[in-house]
Amino acid sequence: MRSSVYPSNRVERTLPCRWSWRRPQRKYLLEQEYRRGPPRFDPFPSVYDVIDATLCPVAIVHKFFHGFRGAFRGPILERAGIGELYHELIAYIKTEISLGRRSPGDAMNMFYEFCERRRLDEETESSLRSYFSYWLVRKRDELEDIWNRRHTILFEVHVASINVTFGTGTRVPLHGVIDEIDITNKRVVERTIRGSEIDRNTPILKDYQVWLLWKILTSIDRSAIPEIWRNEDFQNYELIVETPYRDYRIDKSQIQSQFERLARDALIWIQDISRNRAAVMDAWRNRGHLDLPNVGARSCIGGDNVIEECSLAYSACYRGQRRYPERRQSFRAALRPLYRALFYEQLWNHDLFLYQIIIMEQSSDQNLKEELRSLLSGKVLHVEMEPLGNGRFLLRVNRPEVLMELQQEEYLQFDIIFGSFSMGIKRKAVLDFEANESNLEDGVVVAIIENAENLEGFNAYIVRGLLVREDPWYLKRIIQRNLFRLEKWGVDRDDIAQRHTTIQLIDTIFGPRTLRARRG
Amino acid sequence: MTYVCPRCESRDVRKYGKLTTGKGKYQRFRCESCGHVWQEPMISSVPEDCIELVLTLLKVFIADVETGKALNDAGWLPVNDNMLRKLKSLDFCEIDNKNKVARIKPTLNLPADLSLTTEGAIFFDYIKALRIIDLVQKIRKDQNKYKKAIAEGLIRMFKNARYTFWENRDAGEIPAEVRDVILTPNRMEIMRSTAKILAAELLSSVWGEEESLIVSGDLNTRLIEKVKKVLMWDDLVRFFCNNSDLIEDLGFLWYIDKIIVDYNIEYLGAIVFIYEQVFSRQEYEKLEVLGEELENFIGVKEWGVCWDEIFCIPL
Repeated sequence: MRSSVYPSNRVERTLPCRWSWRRPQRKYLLEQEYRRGPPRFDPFPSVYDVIDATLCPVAIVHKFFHGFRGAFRGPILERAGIGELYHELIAYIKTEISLGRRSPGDAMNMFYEFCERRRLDEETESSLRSYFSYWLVRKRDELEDIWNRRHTILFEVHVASINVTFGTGTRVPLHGVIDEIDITNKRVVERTIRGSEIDRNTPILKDYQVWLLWKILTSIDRSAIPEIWRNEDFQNYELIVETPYRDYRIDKSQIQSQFERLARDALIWIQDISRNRAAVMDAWRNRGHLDLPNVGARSCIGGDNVIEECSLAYSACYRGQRRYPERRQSFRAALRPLYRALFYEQLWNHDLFLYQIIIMEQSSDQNLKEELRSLLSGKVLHVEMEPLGNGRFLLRVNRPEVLMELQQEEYLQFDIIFGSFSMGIKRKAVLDFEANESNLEDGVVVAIIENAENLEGFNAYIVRGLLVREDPWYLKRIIQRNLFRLEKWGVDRDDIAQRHTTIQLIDTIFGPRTLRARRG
Repeated sequence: MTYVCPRCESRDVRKYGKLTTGKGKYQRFRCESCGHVWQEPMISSVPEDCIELVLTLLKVFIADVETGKALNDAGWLPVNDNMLRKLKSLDFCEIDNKNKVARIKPTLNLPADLSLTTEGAIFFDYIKALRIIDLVQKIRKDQNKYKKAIAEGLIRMFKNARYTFWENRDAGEIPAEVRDVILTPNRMEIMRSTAKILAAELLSSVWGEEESLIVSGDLNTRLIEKVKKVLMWDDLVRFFCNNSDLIEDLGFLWYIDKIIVDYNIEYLGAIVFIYEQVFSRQEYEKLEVLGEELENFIGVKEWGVCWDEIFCIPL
């Protein structure tokens, strides 16, 4: 089964003769040289970046420079968070059944308990129920099988690799989150609430998304995969796109060459847009060309001719223009270098950190791995975990002094990864230094981990993991977003504009008028 | 027409009544996602049964210009007789009775309420873009005006630059007199105040002209010398004397950027349209690597300047 729509009629970026992905040099990985100016390495893209670039390269421009989260924020009529809640609900139900704690017949009760625990309002519960009901009707047999055979199923698995290839010798880094890996049935599942009962094809680019995630999974160096999964033959896993209404099996052989071409094209866009300013012009020229099954080729030119699924069409590309402030363009010219500077900061902070941590796990250079391990010891702690129940875990670290430093800094919130960064289950954790079980001198601390109901059974499988502390790079994205909003904001009415402080301030600072303070 | 909530950007928007004020009539909208209520001016200058057609004509014009049609051919749409009669009454429409087509006149004379729609605003931007392209072509033909434009553009570039510096950890440190300028709190003000002199002197060196580009002023000569030292002036001049086309193209691009800002063009498509007409893709590619080439030319020293943030395309 294939997606309902693919990009087409776009001028493909020319693949250079020797296309390479610039990784950070050793001196930057080991922080031996100051970070300055435009980073001399390419981003560490996520699967979502690649999908956005495939849909429309302008989405990447807005993502990188204007702080948008991406083209696909979900169905237009979706209530905020329904998609995430749906994922959590399915994960919770399947985990309870696979661990033998609840039977399949109890599924609806589990639904109500879930809604109560999350304190969902009536409307959200009703929306969630409508998706869940469809899913449950179809999945009763599968849930019985899970109950009988006690499947091993992993949810929200973070995967990352620096060696993903797409039909050429070039190795690119990529990371993403897999919704479900069913080890027993040998399947990788991408779950979504998009689509409808009558759809014959997968929702837009969902097959592409699951294929990209599978590509990462199969390119991770074996030594970086936790022992428990090291011998799995992920190469032969089935790829499934699951909507509430039906499952779509993806035939890898049929889509291989097309998807490789799309991925290469998308990655070159990401590379060019991050490196070159003029690439913004090319991106605009190639915006949103899609090939719809019954409609044919269509491009995104505004008005009613936009890609329906793209949330950026009216909020970024074709946003309504306001008359005031009048000096908006001067204001924009002043903001322009800030967008780029904030993007570079994100590359220096977040992407470089991703490179460091993945190269630490996957590089063949043992010296480099050791040096990175030593460098990152303050940010990445190797831990052993023991569940205490109710989402509480006891963590043991090999360097107690680091825990004491963290307590001094009052820094409590971390990402915790069950497994490794290359392949692991990622959650948010808060350290509780005051808990009775915590003993910093022995290197033991209690962590409260969100969405951990389905993880307590994993102590039998994964006892080691990582505690990761990253600088809040996402704040830069929020700044970009707010700057862009301010740039586009305005009013049309003269009377409001004359009285509005912000408008008057912008027009004065960036225009010919003078700002005078009133006396008395 | 599609409306988007200005607060949460959802497209789940419903009409929520009308509002009449002394300033005109407004259509109110309510966002079903976040509950925000706002109003948009209603189009009253066009008969209600013609509004959709007028908006379509605007969109057709925009699409035609984007795909490269000449101004005389852009925007024409076949229309039935009934609509032709109605459009004739609108003074901003152009009718071709013989071919039964109509279009919006490519001028800046749209009614105010129509110009406030998204289509109207984009249409205006493209009209302005076409005028800018015309202007740019005229400037290019006049050598004096062209040189003056380059000078103005370079001044703008130096004023808008982000001046960041680095120090080589192993090889030494920034000299004291340079550090004095870089670390002073009003560094940016100093650099911007010297932009005019720097641009003039750079172009004088590149073009070998002693007169008319030299700007007399009261700027402190010592200060200018310090700034030149900060910018490794001698190396910079040598580089651009060997690559005069790069500095000219860059200066001209920044001049065009100034015109775009002065004309208040907001739509990215119109801005891209202008830039594409001015230079070829290859010329942009050469300008993209200018910072890196400059860095290679100057070589590894104890300290340096992030050239990419000074000599860059204004996009």
